[in-house]
Amino acid sequence: MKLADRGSHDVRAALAATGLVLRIPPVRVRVRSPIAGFAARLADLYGEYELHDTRDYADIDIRMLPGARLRRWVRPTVQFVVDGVTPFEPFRLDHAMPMFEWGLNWVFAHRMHQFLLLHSAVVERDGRALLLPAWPGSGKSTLAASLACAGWRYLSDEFGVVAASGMVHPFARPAALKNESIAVIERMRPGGVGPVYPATRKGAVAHFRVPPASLARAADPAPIAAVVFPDFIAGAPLTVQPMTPAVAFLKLAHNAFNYEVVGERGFRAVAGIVRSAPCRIVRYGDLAAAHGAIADIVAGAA
Amino acid sequence: MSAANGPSRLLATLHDVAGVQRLDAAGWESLVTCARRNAVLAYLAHRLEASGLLDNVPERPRAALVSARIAARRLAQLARWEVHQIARVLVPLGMPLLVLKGAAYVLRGMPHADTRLISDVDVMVPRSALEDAERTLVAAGWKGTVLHPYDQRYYREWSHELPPLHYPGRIIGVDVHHTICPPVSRLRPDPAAFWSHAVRVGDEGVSVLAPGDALLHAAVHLFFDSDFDGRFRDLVDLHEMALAWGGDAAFWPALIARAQALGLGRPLHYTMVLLTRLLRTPIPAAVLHDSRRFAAPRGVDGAMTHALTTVLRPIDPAVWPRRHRTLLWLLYARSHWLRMPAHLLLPHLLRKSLRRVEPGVDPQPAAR
Amino acid sequence: MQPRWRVPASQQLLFEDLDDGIVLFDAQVGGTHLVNPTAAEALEVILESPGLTAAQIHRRVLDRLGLTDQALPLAALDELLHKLAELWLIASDA
Repeated sequence: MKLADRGSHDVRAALAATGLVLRIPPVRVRVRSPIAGFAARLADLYGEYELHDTRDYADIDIRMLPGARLRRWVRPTVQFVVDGVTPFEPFRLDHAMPMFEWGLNWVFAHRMHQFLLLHSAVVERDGRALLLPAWPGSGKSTLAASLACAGWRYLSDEFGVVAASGMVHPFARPAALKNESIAVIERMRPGGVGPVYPATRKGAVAHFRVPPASLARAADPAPIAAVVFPDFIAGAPLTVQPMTPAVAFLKLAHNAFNYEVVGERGFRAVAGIVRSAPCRIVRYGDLAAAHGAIADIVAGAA
Repeated sequence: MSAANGPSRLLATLHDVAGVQRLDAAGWESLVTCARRNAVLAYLAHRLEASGLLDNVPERPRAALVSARIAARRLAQLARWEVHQIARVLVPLGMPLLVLKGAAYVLRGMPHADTRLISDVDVMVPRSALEDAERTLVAAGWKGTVLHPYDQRYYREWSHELPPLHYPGRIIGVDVHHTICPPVSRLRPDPAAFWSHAVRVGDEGVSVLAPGDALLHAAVHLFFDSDFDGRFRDLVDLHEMALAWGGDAAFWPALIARAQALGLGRPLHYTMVLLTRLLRTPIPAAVLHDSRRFAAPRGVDGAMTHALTTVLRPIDPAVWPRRHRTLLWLLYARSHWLRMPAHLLLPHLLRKSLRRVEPGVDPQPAAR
Repeated sequence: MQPRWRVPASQQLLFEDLDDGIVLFDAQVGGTHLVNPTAAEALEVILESPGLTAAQIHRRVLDRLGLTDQALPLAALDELLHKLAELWLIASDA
């Protein structure tokens, strides 16, 4: 049963009571919150996600709770509570959804050391996964979202979840789009982007909803066929440059969430990736041109 | 297992790990969540592995246990590196260097040492060398915590340690102590006693406390640290020390005598009571009887041990916000023992709040 | 007394030889390093024959890489060995 299959009143009541468990492979996330606005946003953004039996084991337990209101004129806040701990300062109450998204990323990054967690968007076509590593100005989330709009399977906008097998696993969550990207993706897929939060610390933020076809395959890993380091520069002509393996190794390793924590396993995994997958830097100013270059790179990979 | 809540289930499991075989899904989630909240998830993994039970744990809780183990191991590795770096700059000065607490368990090679979530390396140097040590570490690249001058002064006057030092880019901080207990407290063991019994470990010129002294030190800190989280974890460390060293029949009488000589009998007595009550640590009955000489008068002792048993039980993650009754009790108990007005506990509480995550920042790639 | 170099028993060095460089992982500290051929060769020599002096290591590295003394002076190799020791990859018993 999907979250959207339960009526909004039902969802609100459930979240306020024993909670709901969302299936977001590879984890099950238990969510509780008495905040009606948050319930509505969750139902909107995660409507297509499957629900899991609340009596069964959940990997992550999150409560979005109203913060203490000390003085009447202080803005109401929301707290992110995971396993009885509040790791962050409170957010303003109407930013509960971005806080949930950001907090869930944080929890995932700290708790999933059975995987090597690269900082990367991941898409897939024809059984071949493409890593889009994060680096400043990469625009990886926008690129990943646009590729998803163009028919690629969307695995993640943030985490390259690499198993011991060398395969990359999805962790398909709504991608956080910022500022100008919001309009770009909304044009490509009308209705595909959630409400805009105008004044977060990152500027305007909105979330790209994971396409149903991608969500249907949210538990399917794929082999890593190529690595593209995107470099978005407005108005720049398209260029594709190779990145040599040792350089790619260091970039992937130093930018991962838990490379140092997993130790030798991570070392071997990254070496495996740079040995077997072509690594390229794609500089682009136009998304369509980038798409073409990327499709060629992935198709040409062994 | 018919435990009512996470803490009960956690305690029951630590008493008898084989009990996990009777857990259902909800029981596992409750156990894992409670263990994680009390920083003993990696320790639980270790206990299950040592009993040959880890492989049979259902897939998802097993992943959580293994992941916690990996994270703790990494912190132990970083702590060892931090000790190495400290020794490199301080030992050549001819400065005696003692490593305390979690990093010491690592250096000793204790089986549970790499299950502790170490965030700081605690070292001790002679009082006369304290300024030298700070100057040398800062010159070598460590940075002090930025504290309000008011807090700086009280830290240095009232406390037994420098404000924490941190090498930029590294996760593990360094706390430099000059004695075991805060100098203004009612407990004032002579640091020279600890130095005289200290034991060399490794080949870098670093020492650790003698086993009995390490246990006494941990017993004292069970009551002194105002970081209200993590006390259950400290009790588990004491349990492991008792297991590691208590098999030697000579250990216990020597410990009692040592506690007597150093004036640390009261914390030792409380520790023994709590270990037997909460963790069922196998302490010989004769030793328990013997340590009662350190107890407060009957009524007070009963009230204190009852209160401590409540306060040191594992924290229940299902309850948020935590009840303040516990914290107020701890503040009272501490200020009583420390003869310090409650507002001077600020530096410690400040340090705790300094560790909160910066809001709005992306999940950080793990620091080197 | 000349220092004699070895990889400490507590250490374990793992190599990945990539087209454009050699990446090294040290299991003791958990550090990852990009090493040039000279450093990689020196480490190989030390792993194969623990207890050599800098001069002996120097000789073998020159032979294996086909280098002259001018291309890699002993002083440079000695400095390299001390750098590797600082990273805890090797240790001397001097």
